[in-house]
Amino acid sequence: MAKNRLNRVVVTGMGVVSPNGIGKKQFLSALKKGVSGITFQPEMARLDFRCQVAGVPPLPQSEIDAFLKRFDMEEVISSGIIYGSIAALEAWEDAGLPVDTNSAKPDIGSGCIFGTGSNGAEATIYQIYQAEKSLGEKLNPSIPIQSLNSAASVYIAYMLGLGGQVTSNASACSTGTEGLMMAYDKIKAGKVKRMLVGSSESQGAFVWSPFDAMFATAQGHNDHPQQASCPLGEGATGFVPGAGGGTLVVESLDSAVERGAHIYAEIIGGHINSGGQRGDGSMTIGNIHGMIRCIQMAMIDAQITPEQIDFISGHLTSTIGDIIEIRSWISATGLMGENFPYINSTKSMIGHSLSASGSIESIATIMQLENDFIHPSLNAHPIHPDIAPYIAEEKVPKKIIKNAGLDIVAKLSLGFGDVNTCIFFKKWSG
Amino acid sequence: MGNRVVITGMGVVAPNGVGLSNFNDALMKGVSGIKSHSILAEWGLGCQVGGIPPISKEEEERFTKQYNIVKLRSPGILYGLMAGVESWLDAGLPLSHRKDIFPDWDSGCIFGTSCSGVDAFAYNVLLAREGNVRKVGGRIAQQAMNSGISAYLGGILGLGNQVTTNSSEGNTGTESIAECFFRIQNGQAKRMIAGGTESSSSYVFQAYDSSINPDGKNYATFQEKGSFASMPEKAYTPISMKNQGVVIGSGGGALLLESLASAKKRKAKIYAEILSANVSCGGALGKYGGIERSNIDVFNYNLRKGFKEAKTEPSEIVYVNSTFQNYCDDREVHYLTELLGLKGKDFPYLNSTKSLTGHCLSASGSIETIATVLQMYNSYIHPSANAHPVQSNIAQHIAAKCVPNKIVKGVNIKKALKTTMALGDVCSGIILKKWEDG
Repeated sequence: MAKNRLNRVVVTGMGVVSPNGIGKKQFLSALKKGVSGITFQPEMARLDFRCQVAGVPPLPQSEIDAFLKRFDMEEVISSGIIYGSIAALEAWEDAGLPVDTNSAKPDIGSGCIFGTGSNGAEATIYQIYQAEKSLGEKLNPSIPIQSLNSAASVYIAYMLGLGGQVTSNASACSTGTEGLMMAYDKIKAGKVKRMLVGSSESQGAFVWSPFDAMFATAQGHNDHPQQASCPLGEGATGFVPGAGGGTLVVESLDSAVERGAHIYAEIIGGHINSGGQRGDGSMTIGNIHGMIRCIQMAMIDAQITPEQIDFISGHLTSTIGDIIEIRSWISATGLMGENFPYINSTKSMIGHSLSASGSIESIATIMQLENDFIHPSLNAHPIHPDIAPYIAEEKVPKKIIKNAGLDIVAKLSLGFGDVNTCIFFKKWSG
Repeated sequence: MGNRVVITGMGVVAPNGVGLSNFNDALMKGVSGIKSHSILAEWGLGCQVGGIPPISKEEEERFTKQYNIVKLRSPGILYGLMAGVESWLDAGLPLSHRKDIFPDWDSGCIFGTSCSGVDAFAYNVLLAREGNVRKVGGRIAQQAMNSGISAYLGGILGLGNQVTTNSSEGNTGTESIAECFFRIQNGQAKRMIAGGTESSSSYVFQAYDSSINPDGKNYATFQEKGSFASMPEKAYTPISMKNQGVVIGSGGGALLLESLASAKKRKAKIYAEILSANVSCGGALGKYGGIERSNIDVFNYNLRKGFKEAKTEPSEIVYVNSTFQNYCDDREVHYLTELLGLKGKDFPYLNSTKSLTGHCLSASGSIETIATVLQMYNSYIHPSANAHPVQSNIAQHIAAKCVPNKIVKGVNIKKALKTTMALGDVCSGIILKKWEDG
C-alpha cells in the first residue's frame, strides 16, 4: 500500500562466507587484522592460466554437509548456492528472525533479491560432461535446477518460507550493491517490509577462465599470492578472482524498532545507473561521466554534501579501472589531497568475488562503520603514480585506523556493461 | 500513486514469428512455432519437439553487423537484442551514436534470463579444460555472465539509467515488467525496456528434459520420443491436458514502458496502460506450495492487492493470459475463478499463448504479455491450440467457449489480466488497460 510518508531503511542482519573468514565474527577479525584470503590454486596452474591465485572461502565439507542436512537439501553441487544459502541463514538468524522449517505459512512481509553472475557453473559443467559421456541418458534431476540464475533465491525462499517478492538480479560486479539499492527503494516506498538481499559467486577455474582469457586477471604474482591483489598500488596488473557470498537483512525502521532488532546502520540513499558504454566507456571499461553522475545523484538522494563523506569503500579491483574510479570521486565531490575521504579496498584481502563482491564489501563497510575502524588496504603502497598526486597517502590506510570517527560512509560498485551503483550508510546512534 | 505507466513499444522473437507483425499474424492465424528439431533427437531427449525462433544465418549476420556485435556465441543474447532494439524503434526512439559522451540518463532496461549465456560458458569450459584458456578470447566473459543481455543492449542503445538483469525462472519476463513499472512509477526513470530472453541451447532443453515433477514422479517435459515428428504442432496440449508435460521453447520479448507524461510529450503511440504489477512467492511451504507449484493463498493475496491498486473490479477483466503450461492448468483455472469470483460462461476469455510457442521459460512472460497487448490493441482473442476438449476439472469451473479454438474477432478488451506462476513458488500478476484516451 502506498503511504504518505516514506519509510526509513535500516540493516538488521548480516551473514558472510568470504575467502578470509567464514561467518561474521571471523570476517570482522580478518578485516581488522588485514588477513589475506588469497592462495595459490594448483588447478589454475595445471590448466596454464596466466593468473594462478584466487580467493576461495575455506568452508569445511563437514559444515556444508550439516547445513544441507538441516534443510533437507540434497545434492547441491553449486558452490555459489551453498555460499549464498549459508550467508542468508546467518543473516536471517543474526537479525533475530525465526527459522521454522515446519511452518505452513509463508512470511508475506519478507522478500528476497539474491544476485549472482555464474552460480550455475557447476551444474552446467555437469551437463556438459554428461552430454559428452552418454547422450540420451537422463541427468540427475536435482542438478539442472542449480543452473538457473535464480536458483539461490529459490533455495533461500524454501529454507526461510519467504512470501514477498523472491528473485535474483544480475549486473556483473555491481550485482550485490545494486540489489541492496533495489531493496532500499522498495522498502522506502512501502512495497515490502523486509528484504533479504545478497549475492554469491561460485568458485572454480571455469568461472574465472573467461577473465583470464581477456587479460583482466592479475599477472606476475603467482609466487606471492598475498601480494597479488594490490588495488591503488603501483603493482596493480589485474584482479585476483574470488568467490563467496554475503547477505544482509534490510527492513523498515518501524519494523526493526517494533521487533526490538539490533540495528547495524541506516541506508540513507544511493543511485543505480549506467554510463551507456558511451564516451570512453565500453563493455569492460566504465564511462567516467556515468560514475560521476552516479555518485552525485547518490549524494542528492542521501541529502549529503561531499564533506560529510567520512570513508569510501571502493570498488577498486587492482586494475587500470582504479585510476578512473579515483578520478570520478574527485570530479564528483571536488575533494582532493588532504581533503579526500579515507578509502580502502576489501578486494586487497579477498580478491574480486565478482557478483558477490558488492554484498561482501557492503558488509565490510557496515562493520567498519559500526565498530568505528578503517581496515588496511593491502599492497596499496607505494600508490600508483597516476593516483598518488591526487590523494594524500595517509588516506589509504596501511594499518588499521581505530576510532576513525565514522558517521557517513560510501560503497561504490562498478561492473561490466558499464553499470554503477553507489550507496550511503549512516551510523545508527539510536 | 506516482507516475502513470504506459507501453509505447514492443519487440518479439518468438518461435512462431520473428518481429511484431509476423508474431501478430501468427497469433491471429493460430500458427504454431513448435517443430521437430533433429538436434533434440541427436541428443536423445525424451521430448524432440520444441520452439526455436526461425532466424536465418543471414538475418543474424545482418543484425550483428548493423549493431557491431562480434563473436556472439549465445542465441539467448541475440534474441533479446533483436527484441529490445525492435521495441525501441517501435516506440519511435532514436538510436544514439557510440561516440556520444553522455548516455540517455532517463532510459534503462531490466532484461531477464535464466541462462542466456550457457552456450558461451560451455564454449569456455571445453577450451579451458584442455589447457587452452588463452584461446577462449576476449568476448566470452560478457556473454557468459548472467547480465550479458542487458549489458549488450545498454551498449547498443546507450542506456544511462538502471541496466540490469533479473531472473526468476518462468516468472522472469513478467517480473521484469513489474520491476520497470515500479521504477517509472517511483519517478526513477522515464523509460525502461522490460524484457526476457532464453537461449535455444541444447543444454537448456536437456536440463528441463530431465526434471521431475514432485507429483507422480513424472517428467516435467512431454516425453514423446519422436512420436510427434510428423505433427509437432499437436504435441503440446495446455488446457486440454491430453498429453502430459511441457514442451520447451525459446526466444525473446521486450516492452518499452514509459511514463505517461513522457509518452504524451513525445506524442508516442500508446498500446496500453499498466495499472498494477505485483510479484510474490509462496515460500514453497504448506499444503499447496512447493518449489514447482504455487501457493493459492499467496497468489490470491498478491492479485487482490493488484486489483485494489488498479482500482479495478475482477468482473471488468475481459481476457486472462495465464501460465497455462499443460501442468497444473486445472489448479490455475480454479485459483482464477476464486480470485475473480466468476465461473461458467461468466468467466473471461482465456487462452494459452504457450500452445503456439512452447514454454519459452524466462522469455515466456514477456512474449505472452506482448501477445496480450496485441490482442487488446487489435481487438481479438487468439486461438488456443489443442485446448479442446477442455480438461474435465477445468470444464467444471468454466464454459468451454471461454477458450477459443478459432480466432474471436471484434472483442473490446478494455482490461486484461496477465498472471504467471513458476518454479520457486513465485507468481506475478499484471493488470492492463486498453488505451482509449486518444
